[in-house]
Amino acid sequence: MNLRELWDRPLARAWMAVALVGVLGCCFHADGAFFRWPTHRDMLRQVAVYGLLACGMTPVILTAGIDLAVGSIVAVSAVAAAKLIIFGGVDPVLAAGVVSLGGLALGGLSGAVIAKFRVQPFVVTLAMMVLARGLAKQLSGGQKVTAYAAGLSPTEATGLLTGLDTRLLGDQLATVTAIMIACAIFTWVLLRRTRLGRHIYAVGGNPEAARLAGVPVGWTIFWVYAYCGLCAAIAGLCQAAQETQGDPDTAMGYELDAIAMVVIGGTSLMGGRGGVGLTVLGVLTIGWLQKILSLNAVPEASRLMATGVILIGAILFQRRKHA
Amino acid sequence: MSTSHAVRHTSTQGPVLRVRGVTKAYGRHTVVRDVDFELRPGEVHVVTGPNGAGKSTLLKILAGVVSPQAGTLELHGQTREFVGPAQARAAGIATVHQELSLVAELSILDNIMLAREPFWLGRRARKEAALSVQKRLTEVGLEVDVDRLVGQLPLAQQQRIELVRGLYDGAQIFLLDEPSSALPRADVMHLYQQINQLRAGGCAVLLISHKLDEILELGDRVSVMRDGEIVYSSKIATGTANTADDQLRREIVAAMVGQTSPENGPEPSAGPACTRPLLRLVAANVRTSPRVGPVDLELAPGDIVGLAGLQGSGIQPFLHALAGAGPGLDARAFTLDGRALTIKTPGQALAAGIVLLTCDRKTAGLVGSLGSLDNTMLSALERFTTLGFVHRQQARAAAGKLLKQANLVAADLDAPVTTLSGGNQQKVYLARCLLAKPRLLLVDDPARGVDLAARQDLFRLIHSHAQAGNCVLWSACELSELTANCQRILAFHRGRVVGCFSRPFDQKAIVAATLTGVPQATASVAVATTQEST
Repeated sequence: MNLRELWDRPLARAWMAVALVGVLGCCFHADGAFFRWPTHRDMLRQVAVYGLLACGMTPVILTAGIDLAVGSIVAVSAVAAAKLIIFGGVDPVLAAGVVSLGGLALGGLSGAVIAKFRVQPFVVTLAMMVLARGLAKQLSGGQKVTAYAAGLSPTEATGLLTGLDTRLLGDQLATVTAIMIACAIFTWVLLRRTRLGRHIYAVGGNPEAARLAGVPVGWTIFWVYAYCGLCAAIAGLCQAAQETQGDPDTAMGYELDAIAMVVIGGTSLMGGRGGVGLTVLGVLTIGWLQKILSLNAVPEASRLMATGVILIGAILFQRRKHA
Repeated sequence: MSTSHAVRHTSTQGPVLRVRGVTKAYGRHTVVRDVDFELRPGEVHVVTGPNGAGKSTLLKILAGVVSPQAGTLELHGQTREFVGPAQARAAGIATVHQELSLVAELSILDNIMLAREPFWLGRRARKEAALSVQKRLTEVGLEVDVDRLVGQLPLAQQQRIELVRGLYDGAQIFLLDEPSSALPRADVMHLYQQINQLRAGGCAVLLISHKLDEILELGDRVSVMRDGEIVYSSKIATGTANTADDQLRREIVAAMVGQTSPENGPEPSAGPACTRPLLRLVAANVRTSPRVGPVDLELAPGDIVGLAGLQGSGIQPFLHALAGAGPGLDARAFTLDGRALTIKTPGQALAAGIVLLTCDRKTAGLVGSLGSLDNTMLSALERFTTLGFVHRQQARAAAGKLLKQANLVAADLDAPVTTLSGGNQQKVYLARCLLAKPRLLLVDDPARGVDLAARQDLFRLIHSHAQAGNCVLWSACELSELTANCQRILAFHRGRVVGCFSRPFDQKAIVAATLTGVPQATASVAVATTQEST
């Protein structure tokens, strides 16, 4: 394989972006901070919630859709989990199950409306974004759901919430990072090794051909959004664990970060092309970039502008040339 | 030709697929009307007819893509419901649509297995499927890796993959919609082999085709459709002698041409005395593949010239190229009104005085959400604009006047144009083209889906525009529309101009030219093409 062919592969380009950011890190290493593992461990912990959202977003974007509701579903899930565990005294594992099912249902509702009534995903999930945010505020009564508010000391609010915010492998890896990795692997299997995965690519690539071949297009779309909702709910559990509270205003705008990570990886917004491997590389690219900027104490204003410029650059860089 | 005839046997079994009284209408327009049709095992049933006769719709009904308003379906002798494509495929019906229906982003294997995959696609399941698919690919003479993306394959191979999908399904019924129309000659022979193999294997094949040679070479039975009905049906005898062949050819062509409708438009008057040509086109080629051309053309003011040809004969790319709407035009000379032109965009064409009325009003013509007046002034806005401001009253008055001339029936000229009937929408579309005052007007099937009265109005407008000293190139599905309205007709065949006819028109000769590419009288054409095809 010559260099040109390699260059035409999205995966090679995604690695290239990661490598470029790595080089950047080596140049601006902030007195060697970039060469220490705890820096990277923290980065991987910080991107975990975004990464979970991006994993769920990938199948959606592969069907040429979009899900704007994931940030709000994170908030609902965080509030619901905190409420159940801190106030309800529910068994944390049971609570996690209930919250996950809730996310699946909210996502599935979006998917059902999109598939059944053929409304644009943008509009439906925009409505779901507002609705779910309202639901989060309703559940929490507009207040942050904390152990303090329940009259408990933070240490008493044990169980899942603190359990998720620990580290594994002798303190070397955050639990939330492990969850993100597991989710990425699961998504990879879903896309590559199951019937649903093939149908997702087919629906995104050419919906009419898929329909003519006998693919249940509607059900495929339904499951894609349901899965995205499920991932968002898991992200919400992780968010609640890290904040040790359920904040109805959390994760504002996270959906855009997740979409950016998927697109930077090289998955096409037009559908049918891409994969979760690319998304993981996109997550790493943005994660490292943010880390390097903060290590070097770049002020937030410059950081945002730099991120914007780099986003555009990366997307132009990933753009597939059409022969 | 004789080899395929030798293996042919006429089936004595009952039909595997039979429909009766099938009717399909879109709005008021009936596309398929009360059609009875059957397919027998080991038999190739060819359906032919002019464009828009309802052939593809009939095929789509059988493939479960379109559900008819009336009619019954019998599959293997049992009455069935008309159902969706998934169920049709499960019932052993494989379809190759005119537009390829594969997912370019998926691999060959994934496309063939699409909607047939096991729930779990482990390495082993994939490997087994890959082996069996690879075997079938080799059987049909396709040596490609099953993991290649379909989008990277040439068209001919993509089509064969659709056939392999049917074989993989174990289908007994194959529906093929003009499979050879887009293929280079070498691949056409491959396709014929495969169709013969299907027949030998006892499959029932429905083949839609425009090509007389193909019909006689492959068919066991032929049906001609016109205006949604089957107007002629015949067996094609085994090992046909040339004389019987000729007879059949004549009958098929006659059935396709049918009666000419008397109501078509006003008689064209001789234009003003020919001074100097308005449009001059020398050795024009369209940069499509395969190329269209060369076309040489000289039009005088007042000329209306018809372009006759089948779908895919290159007329559409030619018109689009003139209007800057598609692949470009290379010409030794291309002048309009004495000025040499290079046209790359529709905007340049408009500025040069060339406007195209496309055959697709809905997607390439009107802006559905705008009102009739706003649509009409769209192309002519430049004329009503000073310093970026539009003189709305002037523009509305000019548009309104033209719409009145067109006898537009509309309650509200500002209501979205989609609320109008098809005929009235077409009037708005033509008015928009005319308001731009084109020196060269290109019309592609201006009467598509339009009722008789509206037709008259449309044609009258086109004629009066020509009489005002402009020229018109006119393409239409129905030849009778051209013979009634044009002074000259150019016949296109596979991208070449194969004949130029003038009044009085010999309809059969024109049809023969567009079908066979040989511009001679029907009887001698038949013989000439038989020789050519061997």
